[in-house]
Amino acid sequence: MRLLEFQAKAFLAEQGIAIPRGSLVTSVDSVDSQPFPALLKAQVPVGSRGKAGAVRPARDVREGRAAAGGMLGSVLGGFGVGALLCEDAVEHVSEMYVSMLLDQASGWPLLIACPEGGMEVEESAMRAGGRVLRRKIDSSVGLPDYLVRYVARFLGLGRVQSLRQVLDGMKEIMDKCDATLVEINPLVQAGGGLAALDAKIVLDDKARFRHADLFARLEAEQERYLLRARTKAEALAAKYGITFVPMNGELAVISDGAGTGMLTLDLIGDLGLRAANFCELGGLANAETMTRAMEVAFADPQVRVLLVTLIGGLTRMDDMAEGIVAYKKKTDIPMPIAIRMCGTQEEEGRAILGREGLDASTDLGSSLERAAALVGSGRP
Amino acid sequence: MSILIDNRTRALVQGATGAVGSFQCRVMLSYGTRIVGAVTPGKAGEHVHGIPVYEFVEDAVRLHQPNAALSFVPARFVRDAALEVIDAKIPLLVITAEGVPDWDMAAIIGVAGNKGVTVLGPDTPGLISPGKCKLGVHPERMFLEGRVGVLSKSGALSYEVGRILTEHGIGQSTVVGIGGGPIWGMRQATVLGLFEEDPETKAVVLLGEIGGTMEIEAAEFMRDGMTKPVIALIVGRSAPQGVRMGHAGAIIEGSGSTAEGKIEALRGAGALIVKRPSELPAILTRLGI
Repeated sequence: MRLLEFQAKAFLAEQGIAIPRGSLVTSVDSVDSQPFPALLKAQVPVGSRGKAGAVRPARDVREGRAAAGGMLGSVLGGFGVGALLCEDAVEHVSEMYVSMLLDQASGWPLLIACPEGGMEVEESAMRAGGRVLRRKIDSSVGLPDYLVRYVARFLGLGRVQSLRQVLDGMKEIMDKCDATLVEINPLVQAGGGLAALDAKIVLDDKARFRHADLFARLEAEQERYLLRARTKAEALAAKYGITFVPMNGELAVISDGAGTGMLTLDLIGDLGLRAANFCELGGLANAETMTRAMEVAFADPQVRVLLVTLIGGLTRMDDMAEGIVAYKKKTDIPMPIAIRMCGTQEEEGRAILGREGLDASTDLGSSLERAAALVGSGRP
Repeated sequence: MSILIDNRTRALVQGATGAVGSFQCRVMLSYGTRIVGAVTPGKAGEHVHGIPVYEFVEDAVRLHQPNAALSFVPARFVRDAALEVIDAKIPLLVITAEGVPDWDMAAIIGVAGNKGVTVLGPDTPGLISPGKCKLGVHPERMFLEGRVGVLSKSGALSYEVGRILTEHGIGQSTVVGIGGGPIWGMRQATVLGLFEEDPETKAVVLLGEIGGTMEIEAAEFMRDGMTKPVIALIVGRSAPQGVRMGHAGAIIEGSGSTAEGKIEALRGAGALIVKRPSELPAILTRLGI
């Protein structure tokens, strides 16, 4: 889960890291009670908000109301803006970047620092001669003094002690909350110390079982302040916990594995077809999962043809066939469907489909051709 | 020969008393896998299809000397179960669970490295050396004993490829599921190295996908570490830009997580690139396999 800025900053503040004074506003009228000058920042979990016009300065209430009116309710990266963080505009000279993350390639936590933070940090890091420090953090020793002093020198900071507090706080969040990324950008020198003007924290959804209350609280906040512009299909997929990727074509794809699903999408593209959406059932799907995936796929109004590609290992094809038949019996299948079915219990699965007048091929290529023909025949 | 497992493998299974574990143990036993013991806390003294169940890994190790462990333990208990296997220095541990927290995997990999234990997974169907041993959930009839090594991030994609090769009479030495990540124990480059050293393996099929940079690392290994032919299939060429890289991630990784980047790197390192599994039999036949 990627936290919203105000949530991430609350984590930092809890660790004693300085953040600008500010509060959330959810309506234009509530801007009136805010102190100015201020910075109004849209609370959406997307990057480069500054460039997208989602961070606006306001010198007084009038400008504040105009900025809030422009941003509240607007859509950014697929999210409707339901809240703004209205903050003191902190005077500062230079902007630094510092982050800690769990590096997926090595399995090690990393500390990354860059003396040139702000919006251009990626470009700066990529540029030849761009200065970026990357250090492994050995979990058994933590953050030794020399490393903190080294980072301080690299960032051009005299105050080692305030950097120590920032880094310790970031590490504490990683260790205690299963965060896989804690990023402060920019980190600035202000008021005799260091302050975090923006922050990004990503918590590992897979560790939810360790932090059930925390996740529930953070999600409830996001529900309240993020206006999700969800389609019917997306809402159904979320309700059922099925992986769903919307696209822009006419052919819906359901698969029982991410790898074979991606392969199917690639081959669809090679045939000049366009996928409408993609549902992945996961490795341990049952009949109900299959029925629900069909509900999700058909909820997308642009779908003209459905292609189901199944190659069962743990997943049993008789279960999958039962799921398809259950859907057919409940609402009838509203459009042409091509099925590929092979693997565990495939004969049983095909027999179940056959009794309902549905046929399935064992081979991916021929099911793709069938889907292509169905799409072609449906075109005017 | 084969890699990692063969008919000398003596397997220990964690989580064999659950529904999936028990069913899969029966399938593995009928395939010929020697399962010498099982471990489930609180169930010591029971038997699963004749396999004795122990309280601790140490107990099973003392009595049966297993040289590989397979975990069907649910994600939230994986860390503890894995640390117990690693502490007992069983040289190979296969973690099938999906959804293991990243920090748990980081801890497991760190400790395993110190103890010389190889971890395969998480989120893997395991591995199969057809005709010899199966440690995991691969549907066995899609595989045939032979000389092609296969490694895959995706379980289902390796079934797809195994099935097509087997239908064309092209057998496999070992089919290794490294798992879906996002943090991996054993990585593609390591598996390539094992296939390179295995006298039975004559060619390798690498099944990769978008995200991360492991395929780039595999390509780097291939440049001076690989003499055998490698055929690569990278899926996700048409995937929408939904899986956006994080800010910090982009700083570390740069480019290279796209299908195009990976295909270019692998081709540059000498791999043959295919777009669909059905191209594989002809290429392998041409290579004399």
